[in-house]
Amino acid sequence: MAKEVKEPTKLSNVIDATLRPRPQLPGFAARPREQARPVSLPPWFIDRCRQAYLSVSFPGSTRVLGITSALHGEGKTTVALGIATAIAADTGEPTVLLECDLETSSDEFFGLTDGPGLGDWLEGDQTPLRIIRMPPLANSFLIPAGGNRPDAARTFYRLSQSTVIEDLQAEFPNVIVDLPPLLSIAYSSLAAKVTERILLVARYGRTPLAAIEQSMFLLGRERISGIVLNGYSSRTPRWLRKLL
Amino acid sequence: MRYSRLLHTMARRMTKYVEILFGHRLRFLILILVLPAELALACVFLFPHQTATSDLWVDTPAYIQISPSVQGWDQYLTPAQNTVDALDQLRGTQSFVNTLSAKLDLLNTFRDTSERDSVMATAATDIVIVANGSHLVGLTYTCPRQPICTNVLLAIEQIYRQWLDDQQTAQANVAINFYTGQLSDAQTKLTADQTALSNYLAAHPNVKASDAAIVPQLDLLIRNVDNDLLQVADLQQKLDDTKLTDAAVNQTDSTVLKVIDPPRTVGGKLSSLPRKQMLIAGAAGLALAVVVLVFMAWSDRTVREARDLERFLRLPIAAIIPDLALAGFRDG
Repeated sequence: MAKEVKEPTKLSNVIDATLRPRPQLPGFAARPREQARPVSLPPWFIDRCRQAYLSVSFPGSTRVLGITSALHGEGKTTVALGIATAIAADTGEPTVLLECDLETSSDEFFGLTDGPGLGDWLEGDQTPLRIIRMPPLANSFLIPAGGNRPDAARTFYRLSQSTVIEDLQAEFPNVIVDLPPLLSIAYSSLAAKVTERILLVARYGRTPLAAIEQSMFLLGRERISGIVLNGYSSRTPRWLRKLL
Repeated sequence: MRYSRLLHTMARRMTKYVEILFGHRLRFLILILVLPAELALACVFLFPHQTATSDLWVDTPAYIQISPSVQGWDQYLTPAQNTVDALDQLRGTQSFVNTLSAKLDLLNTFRDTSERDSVMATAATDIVIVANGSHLVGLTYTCPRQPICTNVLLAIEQIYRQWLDDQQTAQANVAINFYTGQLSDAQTKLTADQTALSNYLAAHPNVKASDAAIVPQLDLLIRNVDNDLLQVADLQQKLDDTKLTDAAVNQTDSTVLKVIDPPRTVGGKLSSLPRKQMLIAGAAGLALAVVVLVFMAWSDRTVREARDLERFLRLPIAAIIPDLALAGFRDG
């Protein structure tokens, strides 16, 4: 029998504690706050990610954007991080990157080890939800996926049934959801239910066109706001490219 | 308008090929070079080759004066071109191959019969004969060992010299036979005319040779004898000249065929590589590379161009992000 999904009030407490920490008690040393390893992305990369999120039209003042890809290793998490950084820098609003790739956790990418994550919290393992600041921006946060989970499908189902994203939106106007790669999981259709708008990352010279077509079929064309062609590295000389 | 659209479509299709070509340029370069390189290595280490050359100075044969031009020679070609033509025709004959083989045997060229057979199988066709000027003919031959190369060229020169000699001797014999017959006829006629004159003088004792001016018949007989004498003398001179030329064939042909540079080996192991085979191997490597390129382009169904994505999937391209690895970043 599936465990009950966490109460939203508990999540709001976590968010509240993250965004508005208690003032330090006089006479006590400041408790060190956990933060992700700074990932120094080049400015041009963030600029291209800015171009990607600006191409998506959002209905209101909040932005919820899913980032996914057809297969593993297409730079989906990096693009998600770049977009989160760009939005946080541009808007100055609290921005959270929600790591939902439960089968291939990217905790190591963010310099996190042995800590609970979204999966553990959704499963109700009596662990608090970790919302970690992502330096260098003060308004950029990360909710890690946690360790690899063998029951990722069930956990993802819980996520799709929960109101986590809506709750997050109350405090984080910008929510970037790093979704799992669609063709590597059996529950890809659930991914489409998490966010309304999705950017599909394709790797130059690696992602087959057929895989993108299949991903489009799984997600539904109307949900895909655009394709991010990542890892573009044309070997053709510039003068020849101009001719062609 | 239609042409520009067609050109544009072709260019777009070419983009993929060009991209794959440049993306794997090192591999394609290796693919193109590997066959000629293998052939070169095999030629150098497994089948070593030597190249020998020789240069000949040739001229139009000054044959016996019975014919205004040399038989078989084109008057509009240079002596070198005529010689190349003659040699090209000669080496296509079995008689030439047999003579060459016999001469090479005489020169103790081959180590064993297998070497002899392998060389003789292609010797006649592998010799390169070119006209390097109006009178200069170059002979080049590539073979496994230096003595074979030089001996083959030497034998060819000997065969061609002998062929010229034979030609001259044959023509001289024809001329000698012709002049001998003519001289015999002229001498017979002279004898007959002399007999007729003697008979006439015997029949007319009162008539002297000095009366020829007043005796027409005597005048005719005397003029016949004189003409016969001149003709006999002329034919005898021609016959003597022909016999002299025939006897001096071996001396006179040095003006027709003179070896400027005797057969000698040139270049090192690499320069002796068979150029034709190398070119064929290079072309084969190029063809192989093209086949591989076409196959790679055909089998490559990955995302390459943003415009292709937009065209096939009808989805907007939100951004094109260059490879982070170029900036030394390992993305996730």
